[in-house]
Amino acid sequence: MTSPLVSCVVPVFNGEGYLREALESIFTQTYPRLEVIVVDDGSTDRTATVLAVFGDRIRSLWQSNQGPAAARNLGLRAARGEFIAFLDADDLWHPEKLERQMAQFRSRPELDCCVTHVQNFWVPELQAEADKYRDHRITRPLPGYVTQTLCARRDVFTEVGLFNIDLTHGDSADWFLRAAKKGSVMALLPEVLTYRRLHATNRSRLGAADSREEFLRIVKNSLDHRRKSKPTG
Amino acid sequence: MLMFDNRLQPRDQEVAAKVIDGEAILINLANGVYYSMDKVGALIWQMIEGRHTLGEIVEAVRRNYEVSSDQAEADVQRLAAELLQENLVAIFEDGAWSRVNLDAAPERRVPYEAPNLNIYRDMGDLLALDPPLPGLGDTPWKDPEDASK
Repeated sequence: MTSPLVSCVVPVFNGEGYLREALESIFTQTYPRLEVIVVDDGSTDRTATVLAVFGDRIRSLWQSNQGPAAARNLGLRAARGEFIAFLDADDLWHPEKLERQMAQFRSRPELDCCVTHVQNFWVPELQAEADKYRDHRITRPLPGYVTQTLCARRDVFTEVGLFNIDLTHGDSADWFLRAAKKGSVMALLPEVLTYRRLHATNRSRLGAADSREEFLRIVKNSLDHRRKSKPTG
Repeated sequence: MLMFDNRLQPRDQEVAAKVIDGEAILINLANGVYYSMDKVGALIWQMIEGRHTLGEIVEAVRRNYEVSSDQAEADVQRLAAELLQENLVAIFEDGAWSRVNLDAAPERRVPYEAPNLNIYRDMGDLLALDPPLPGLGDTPWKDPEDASK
């Protein structure tokens, strides 16, 4: 029996620093059938040079800078796999991530989405910050309802829709809330299979205040929808 | 026991909150639990943001809604206790505050509905990773366990 193809979509904007490591973590996956699609979101650094190293092992797409949601959507449209996974250009996968997720899909045919736990880690330059948060919950494994951990049946995106390109920070949370509302069947693996790098230019860090406001609006919209569909609730 | 001269303050570092279309939406960034408060609750939240005393909040509720003082007092006390319990606010000890201007007397009082803190824990996991922006730099951030300090 052949394993289904998994399309790995990596949006990148000015990701020269960590992109290579991110892609290596895809190429070292133990799962056998992958295609790698990198969507360059109008980078102005040497992202293209990093991509060139990988040659035809990756499919490289380019768009003018429109944000990660639009980049993921472009990658999705180009994907040929029956399953789709996403990785950000600064994060890493455990070598067995996709293998363990695909094992879930094999044993649970009803499953639509599979996510994993995430471990944050700090770049060496931010050691002081890492020390400061040593005992904080963000240094412990967290349930990762975010795109970097997601492996999903392609059909789910027909049902739930694409990522909302109007959102700059909350597109991932918005998508998961919509998926939950649609009744998508989700599995959260207890193991840490995704590593999120905290560095000086994390998108969420740069726009912390905007991100909070956007989140509140997403939650408000989600509540409004919920009440509309359940008048008593 | 909360006194009517107590002031509360939102725990801004780990709570994101905003009144949107007359409804107060709050997210505890530490655990992804979120909350909503409609009408009277939204008014109370705005006054908490303005560091008003509980007594002043009761007075504002009474002036805006058809409600007895006793009922308004009881409801404000109960809601304030719930907000404290959920770690969304802390007792404001000192320092400067800016008031929300709610002095303009309403034309007439409107029907009252007891304020309610609606709690949504079901999406906790879904919101647990992304929003908590460990506020490095301009968004100082603390573990809820440190809240007592």
